[in-house]
Amino acid sequence: MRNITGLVATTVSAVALAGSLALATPAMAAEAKKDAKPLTPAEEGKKIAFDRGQGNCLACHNIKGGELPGTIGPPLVAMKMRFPDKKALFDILWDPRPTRGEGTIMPPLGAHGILTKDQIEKVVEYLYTL
Amino acid sequence: MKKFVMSAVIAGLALTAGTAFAQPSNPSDPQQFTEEFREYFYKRFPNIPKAEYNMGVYAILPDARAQWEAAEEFPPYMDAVDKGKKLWAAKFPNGKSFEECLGHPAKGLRAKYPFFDTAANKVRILESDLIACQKANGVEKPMDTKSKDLSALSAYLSYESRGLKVDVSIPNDAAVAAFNDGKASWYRKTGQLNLSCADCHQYHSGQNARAETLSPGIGKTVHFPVFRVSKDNIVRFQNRLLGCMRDTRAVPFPEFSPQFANLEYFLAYIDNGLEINGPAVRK
Ligand code: HEC
Ligand code: HEC
Repeated sequence: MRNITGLVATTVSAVALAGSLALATPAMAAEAKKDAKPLTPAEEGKKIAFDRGQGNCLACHNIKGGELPGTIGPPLVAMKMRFPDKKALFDILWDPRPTRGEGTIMPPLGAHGILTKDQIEKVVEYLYTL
Repeated sequence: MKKFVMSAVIAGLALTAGTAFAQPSNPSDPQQFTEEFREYFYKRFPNIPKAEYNMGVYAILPDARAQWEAAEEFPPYMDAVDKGKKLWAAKFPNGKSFEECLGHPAKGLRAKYPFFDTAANKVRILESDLIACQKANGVEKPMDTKSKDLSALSAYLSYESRGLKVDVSIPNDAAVAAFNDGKASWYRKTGQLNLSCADCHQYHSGQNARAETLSPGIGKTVHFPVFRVSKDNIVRFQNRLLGCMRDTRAVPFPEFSPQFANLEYFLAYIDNGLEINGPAVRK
């Protein structure tokens, strides 16, 4: 059923958004960074993951310390143990479709330009602390 | 504290496990498809009485449902309903009215829509026809999709059809094609987030996106328009489609476009037999 219509990724574009999965502009992220001490990559990764305008992972995943988590995806726990290969974890964030199938609802964060390679690497560092 | 976090995690796991339902097949015959589609939800939510799918997400959230029922005592949409009633009764500059234009009194009109117009060969949407009436009768500034008058009329017309049952028919092959086009939109992944309506309202229905519980695919159309407490306004069905599609980070189809008209037709056909209970109140 899921593939009946194929993956017509129509109308892909960035627009102003509202709603539960809504994402804000990159400018807001820059704003949040003002006068901060240099953060470790993992700390930066946490910010990216929690920010509604960036990873917005809490829309779907329960993550320790996150408020109002969604329950659409699996809770992100024991990541290092479950993904001893860092590259495999990176790949799922970049584009889950090759390993999880075209029907997966986990967004292709890298492949669709939601996060950059550098941002995803930081999120991976953060996930390894969970 | 730690304990709380753990139990939340377990709840998350349990719900996630709930997605491992068999994928239904996809018969091209609308009636057969509809039966299988409904069966999917009946299995997924065995505790929802079939007639109560018209409550949307409240069918699966008992607490929120109690709040909804309390809100019905002083319904916040009555101002809109009253305004819609006046607008309905008003005359166009040429002396005609909506009733003459549409050839039907307010009572029961909502229950006639959406329908497949075999002469025009397309799905007709009530709110779009209201605008067309104004245009055809010389109204200087006809309503548009931003118009509060349009949502007021929409609320009034739902109110006047409360208790009637959805009865959408598929009269010919072109109508079957319209239904199947709407169905394709339901399953098509869109936007930067690569999500379909089915991803949220079928395969993950009952689960949460942040604090929002995702309503099931049956009963989407029957309680519209809805009064959104958080926005203090009335949201029409086509407007909600636009909002959900935009949330996938796609540029949505315009309201009343063939794509959205067919999507409404598809979902309304799924709702056949349910009681119309709009307008409803939502967060
Ligand atoms: C729209 C919902 C959604 C969003 C947003 C989302 N995910 Fe996911 N994610 C899922 C789902 C659903 C799965 C399960 C995928 C599957 O197996 O098909 C998943 C799987 C994963 C997995 C694999 C976990 C496992 O146990 O197999 C990781 C890691 C992950 N997501 C991390 C993230 C991170 C980090 C973010 C944010 C930067 C994020 N996700 C955003 C829905 C989402
Ligand atoms: C990213 C997840 C997501 C996607 C994709 C999505 N929706 Fe929604 N939708 C929601 C949430 C969250 C709500 C509010 C809670 C509820 O009632 O389901 C909602 C509400 C609705 C409602 C109103 C329900 C009510 O009773 O008020 C309708 C109708 C609807 N969606 C239809 C659609 C259609 C059709 C599509 C595809 C074009 C779609 N949605 C795509 C998340 C989504």
